[in-house]
Amino acid sequence: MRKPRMEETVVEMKGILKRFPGVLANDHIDFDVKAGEIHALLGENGAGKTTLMNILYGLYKQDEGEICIRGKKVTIKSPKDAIDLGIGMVHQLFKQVPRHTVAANIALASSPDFFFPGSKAKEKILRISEEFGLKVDPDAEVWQLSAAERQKVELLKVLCRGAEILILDEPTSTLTPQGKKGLFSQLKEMKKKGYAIIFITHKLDEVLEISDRCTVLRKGKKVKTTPTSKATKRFLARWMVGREVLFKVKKKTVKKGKIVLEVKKLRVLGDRGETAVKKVSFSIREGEILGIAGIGGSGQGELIEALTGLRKIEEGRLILSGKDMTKASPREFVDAGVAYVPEKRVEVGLVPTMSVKENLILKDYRVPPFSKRVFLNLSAINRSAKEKISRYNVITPSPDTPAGILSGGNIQRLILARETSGEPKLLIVAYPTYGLDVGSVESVRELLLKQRERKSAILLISEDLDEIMTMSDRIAVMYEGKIMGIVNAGEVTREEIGLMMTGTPWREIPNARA
Amino acid sequence: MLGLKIEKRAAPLPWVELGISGLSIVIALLAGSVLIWTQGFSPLHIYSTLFSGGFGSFSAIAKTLTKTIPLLLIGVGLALAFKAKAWNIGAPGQMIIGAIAGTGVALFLPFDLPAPAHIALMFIAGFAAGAGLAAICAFLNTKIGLDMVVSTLLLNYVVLKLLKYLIYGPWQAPGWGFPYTKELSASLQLPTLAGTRIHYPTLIIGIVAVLLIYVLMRRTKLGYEIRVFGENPKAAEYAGINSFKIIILVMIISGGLAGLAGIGEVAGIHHLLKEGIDGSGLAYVSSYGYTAIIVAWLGRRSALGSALAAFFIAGILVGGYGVQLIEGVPFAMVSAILGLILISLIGGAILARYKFTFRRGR
Repeated sequence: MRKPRMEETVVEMKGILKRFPGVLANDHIDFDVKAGEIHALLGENGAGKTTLMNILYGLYKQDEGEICIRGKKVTIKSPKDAIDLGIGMVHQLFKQVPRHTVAANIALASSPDFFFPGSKAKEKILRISEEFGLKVDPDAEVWQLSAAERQKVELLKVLCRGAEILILDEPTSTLTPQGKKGLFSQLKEMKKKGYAIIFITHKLDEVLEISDRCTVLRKGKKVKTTPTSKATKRFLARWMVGREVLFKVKKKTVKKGKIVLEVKKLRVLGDRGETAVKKVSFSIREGEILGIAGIGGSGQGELIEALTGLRKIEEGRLILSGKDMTKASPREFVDAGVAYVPEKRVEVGLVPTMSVKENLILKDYRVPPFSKRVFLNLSAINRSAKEKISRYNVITPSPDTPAGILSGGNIQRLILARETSGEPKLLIVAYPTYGLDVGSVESVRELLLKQRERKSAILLISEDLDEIMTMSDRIAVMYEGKIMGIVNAGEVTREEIGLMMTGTPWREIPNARA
Repeated sequence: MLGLKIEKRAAPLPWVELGISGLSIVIALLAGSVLIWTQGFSPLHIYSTLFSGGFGSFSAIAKTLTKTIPLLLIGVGLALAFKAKAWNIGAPGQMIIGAIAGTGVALFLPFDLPAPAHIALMFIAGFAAGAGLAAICAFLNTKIGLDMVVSTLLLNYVVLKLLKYLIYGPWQAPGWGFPYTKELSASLQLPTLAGTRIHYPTLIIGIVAVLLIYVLMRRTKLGYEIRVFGENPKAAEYAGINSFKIIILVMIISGGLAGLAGIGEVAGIHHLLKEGIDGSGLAYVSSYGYTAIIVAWLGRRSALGSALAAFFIAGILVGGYGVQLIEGVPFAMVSAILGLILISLIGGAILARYKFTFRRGR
């Protein structure tokens, strides 16, 4: 491979278009990277960043458009083609074998030989890690390493394969501030040596700190490519979240009632034992929708699991209608009138192999009329299923059809029928319209507003800012587990929400009416 | 180029479920016929001998029904456990511990009881022992995450050693030195249907168990919880279902039913405790506890299905003995065919979760 000159354009993607069923993930995107440059790719979840990079890395094939690498037009059919072209990708979740040594993990990825290259591989690793200041002990086993060290292993893996074009997918998401600092200095080192680096992120500070140019994507389209020196946080936030005309929903004024849910300084751990929710406090009243905005993975998922008893609360208090529920089980939450429409509808909210009517009683099979003592009341279950199917407009061949074969919109209406027909006190809905078609989106939103009129307290989690801004009465914005601010929906701009979503607290936003 | 597209199904179609059982038997018989042919026999002739030996006459059916009894009791219990994805491989041990406990009550009860009450107590002891053994595994699984396949399987060997210790040691009948206990007193031996070895009290218990489990699964809250938990544990947690309770309960029921099968064999067939009361008497024949795994799968983990499957498999076992005696085909062939059925069933169940479409690609 010929060493590229500095400033030479090494990657050029022209008019890239990629369709998935129901979504245009990439809509005629142009994108290029030069040697010796760090190019940030910025956008919300679902903006099309990862799709674009997966196309470059050969994981997907574009429907339209072409890719040139070092000025030559190429077809990248698989990651192997990409690796041969000198492209390397560092995934967000590390793909490593924890019980193997660092050297073995790297050799596994980079050696073309059948037999295992012992000392030779180690030499190469030491040489490359010396060159870039990526110090890791090649004999250490991966499970002993910290997240920052595991990331170094991942970078070494890519470098040992001879990559000169690096794609880093949200590389700082698992790192501590010190780990992040280390990574940035290593990236600057690589940049000096003529490597081209694509840095996928949604954190504005990082864009400004590390990148030379940045490209902002929104809803599958490119908004802008600009030298970072000419960008400000405010502009980036605006480009990222957009300024579209909001769609109108008929939202009646509802008089707010008593406080239903109150959380005080909640601390909750994530799956990896890290603190995912940090001292979060808020309250919701009857007839009120509190929207929680934030980039995916900012702690919303852990927060709602804590609010439904599915995740342990480490510190803080959770009070539901005056009753302390900090240590309550999922069943106690169900019994207390908390309904929950989960993000993972099919994996969590549904038993796909069981029938529609059986799925409709998942939350209230234990109470009359659906059961008496030990027995289920099949005729009551049938009657209620027919009624709910027609009232909520769930399209299914019959109540006995396995629920898993329904379409996405019908599955969501089924879950909403189940969760809202019991007139819940508190309704928690996560990403209620994600992946649904336009008609279903509308019907789901209308259903939620009807619950609000019925004086239910609603917690709405969504990545769709339009949805949050039109549906909510108040909006809380989460960033890295903390709440950046809670504001009335009518008194905040998209741009201000965008700034909070990317790490600026409300009180630090200039002109904020805090 | 012809491309094969494989997609995961959210839910298998109902007719696929039924088809798997039938197709698995056909595949196993076809593969088995190759085995038979390589041994120099005519597969068609062997199969016709096998099926007429198992189902072809009144005496054949009587023998088959006798063997159906333990397979039915254990199989329907395993169907329930498997429905909750509690992989109980410990039925052989649970059966033997049930036989031991029941025999203990039969032989060593320190006070006198009228015979019917004494027999009832034997069966209660058998159920309790099997249930207790299974409950240990369920408890370790839910509390410390010990894999249930491993714990139930290993306990089988522990129980087998206990049986040997008893019949070669403290419980051995005085006299000729055979590894048997002394015989149960005649009043404690179960009655049989005239001219057969069908110990009908146990058969009735088995049929009642099938009906109860059918009702449990279809009509009760607990059955609903078991099905939700077995099909999607995450949804069960979301619905507030207590997984600890489910696993413990299904293991108690399946272990207890295996224990009943154990004491049933002692009181109904052998009238004493010895090795092989679990059906593993001849070489190459595995315990009813293992064969019942095939019964539960062939019956698609349903109560009624398992009852039919128990009768079918019992017929193959009985016919297999006949084939060995008349034709000289080793009984190992029957074991091989049963194994092939299980492999096809499990393979079929996995394939049913996917959708296969062929398309012409670029």
